[in-house]
Amino acid sequence: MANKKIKRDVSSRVYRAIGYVFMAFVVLISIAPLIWVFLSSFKTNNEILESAFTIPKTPSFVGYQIAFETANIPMRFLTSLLVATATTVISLIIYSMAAYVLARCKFRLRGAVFALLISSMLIPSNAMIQPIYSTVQALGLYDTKAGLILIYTGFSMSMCLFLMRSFFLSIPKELEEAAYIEGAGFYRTFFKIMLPISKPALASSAVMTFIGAWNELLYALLLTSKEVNRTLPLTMKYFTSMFSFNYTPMFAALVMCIVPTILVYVLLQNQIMESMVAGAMKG
Amino acid sequence: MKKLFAALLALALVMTLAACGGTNSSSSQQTESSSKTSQAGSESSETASSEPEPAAASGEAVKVSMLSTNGGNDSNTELVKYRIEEFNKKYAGQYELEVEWIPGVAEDIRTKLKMLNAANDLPAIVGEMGAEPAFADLLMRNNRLIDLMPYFEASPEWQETCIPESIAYNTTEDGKMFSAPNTTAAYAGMYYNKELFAKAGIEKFPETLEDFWDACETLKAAGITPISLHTTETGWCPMIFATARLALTDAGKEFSSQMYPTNFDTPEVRETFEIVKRLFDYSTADAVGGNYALAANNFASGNTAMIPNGPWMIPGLSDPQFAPEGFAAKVGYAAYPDKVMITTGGYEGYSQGVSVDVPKEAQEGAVEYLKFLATPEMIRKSCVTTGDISPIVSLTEEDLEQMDPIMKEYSSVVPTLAGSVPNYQGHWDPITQNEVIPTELVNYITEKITLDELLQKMNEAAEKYAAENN
Repeated sequence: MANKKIKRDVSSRVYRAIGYVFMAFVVLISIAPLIWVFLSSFKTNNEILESAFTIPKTPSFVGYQIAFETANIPMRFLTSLLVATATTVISLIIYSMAAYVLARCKFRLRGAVFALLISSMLIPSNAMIQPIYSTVQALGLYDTKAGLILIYTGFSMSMCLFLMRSFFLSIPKELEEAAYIEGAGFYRTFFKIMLPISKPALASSAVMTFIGAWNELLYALLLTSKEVNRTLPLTMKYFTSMFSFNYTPMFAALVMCIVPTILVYVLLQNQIMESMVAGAMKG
Repeated sequence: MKKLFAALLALALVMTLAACGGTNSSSSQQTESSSKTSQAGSESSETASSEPEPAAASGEAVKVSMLSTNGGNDSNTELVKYRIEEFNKKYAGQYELEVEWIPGVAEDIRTKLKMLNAANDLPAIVGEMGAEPAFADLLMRNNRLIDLMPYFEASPEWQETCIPESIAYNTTEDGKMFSAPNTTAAYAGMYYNKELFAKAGIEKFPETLEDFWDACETLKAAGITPISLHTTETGWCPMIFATARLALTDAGKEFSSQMYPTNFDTPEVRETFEIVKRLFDYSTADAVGGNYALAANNFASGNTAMIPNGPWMIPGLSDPQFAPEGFAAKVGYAAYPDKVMITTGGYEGYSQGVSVDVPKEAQEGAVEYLKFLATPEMIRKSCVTTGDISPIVSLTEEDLEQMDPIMKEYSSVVPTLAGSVPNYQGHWDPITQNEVIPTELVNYITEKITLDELLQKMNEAAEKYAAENN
């Protein structure tokens, strides 16, 4: 009996140890690139290219200094923040309503409409360059932040709809029925009952949308021309050309670029995890 | 309540979009230090989006739009900025260049140009055509550029400074000219570390190929890695060394002058790739699969004794971010063995054209800019700054004094050449360059495929490109 207990304890410890090793491995491969970028931002070009995984010999802030001198990073930061935040807010407002209707209202071709809307994620973004440019130009939104917000809001549609519709489907209908019995209308039920419950789905949609808009490079390059409308990720491009490179300030700019996305994720991580679990139950 | 909420929501959305839009008029408030020229061409592109309209209705200077890269530390960015400033000064009140600075590489400019082309919204000056002649051909075939010939014929000064071979290259069979002829050419040869050569007991840069292989052996025996190479970016460094030897035979020259050759299986090309493979025996471990940055860093760190490249690399050799202090003083410049080099731009290649999408006045301003670039002053500046060579305009004593010592050495090497051939990147089709070479060159060097297989793949790619474009 005692032997069995000892065996069980040993095997449970072994399983736990394997679990920790696996988790440590996942953490390592997730964090190592970030640490590498961070450390590289304090090295010289030579150190980066010759000994990529070492600690900087004489840590220097020259990279950050050059990055600030080369591009107007504070302004680009604000532009990125404005574009990504506006995209996130607009996406949440529009797509939460759309997702609720697609989850709860019964109408003809509901499934087809949903399939059509989320199928946009299957279109390669390069294939959309021309139509998007023509549309943005026709709307008079070329080289404006509004143009970028509009495009990024469109890009986030499929993912937001998918996440939020799944979450709404996972909420018991009885909850809404109780609200209707108590006299709440459609809008009140949505805004007062369903939206507050859906915080996890809203949070994960917000994070995904924010990160997507924050990191986007191709359309930011193609749809803007003035410095005032250029976003932070474009700064990285300043430090490489065909026959020259300057990795130290590039990594410094990269650090400044990724910090906000990490912060957003850290702040909303609980809601994101809840949403992922809820979304996994009913799709 | 519902209506009020809906109205507020709608108002919030409209306000957000309104606040973020309409910044075109406030461009003067931007703080970009790199100039008023960076208030780039959105205004002009907006006017050009439909039918070209008169550009200078209010008596203001005509805006002439163009795109240019603003990345890295190569000398070309400095030159472009100088030219723009000088042009805007000279033509103040008449023309004003509005430059959209694209952070990144020329490829990014071409991506944007392709998008603007499809929307009939090209900027006035269409540049960066030399490195992707297929794109330039597409623009010409579809009448997207104006014919420069009337302007060119009317300007004897412009004709005088252009390289005759480039005039011929840029003149179509029916006598039109869609790309301005080049006034200068850049040559690419070999940088070498004099200190490491001396350490290995080599007194001067080898003059023949046999001497070169001997020098590599000597350097290797002295514990010095002979040459910096890489395989990405179409294997630029090894490829320019090897393809330069095509200048030594008539058959090689003929092959090099072909636009989009479809048969790479010739004795000359075979020899070229045999040389490429042998070069890697004398390079660093990170050369196979490595990029230009690694190769350049190996040379600037004193890890290797040589690197093939053009004069645009010279400023980096004195930049503390890239090379230790005093490194430039150790560097010499030579032609490849048997006195051959490759040329970029210059004799055979496209340069810049003028778009049909902008108003007539802007087109004329763009032509003025192209003529301005061909003035002796601008040519001399280009020679001093970037190492371009003009076979027509001579440098003054003052110009020579301004030159970096390595640039001076480079300039003295070029007139002694036995031959040169155009850069392969401007002549080979994009499928061979972008899809075959990046992967198959590595496979060939590591002996996963034979030379026959490599050449066959290149031929298939070239034929595919020819079939798609005929």
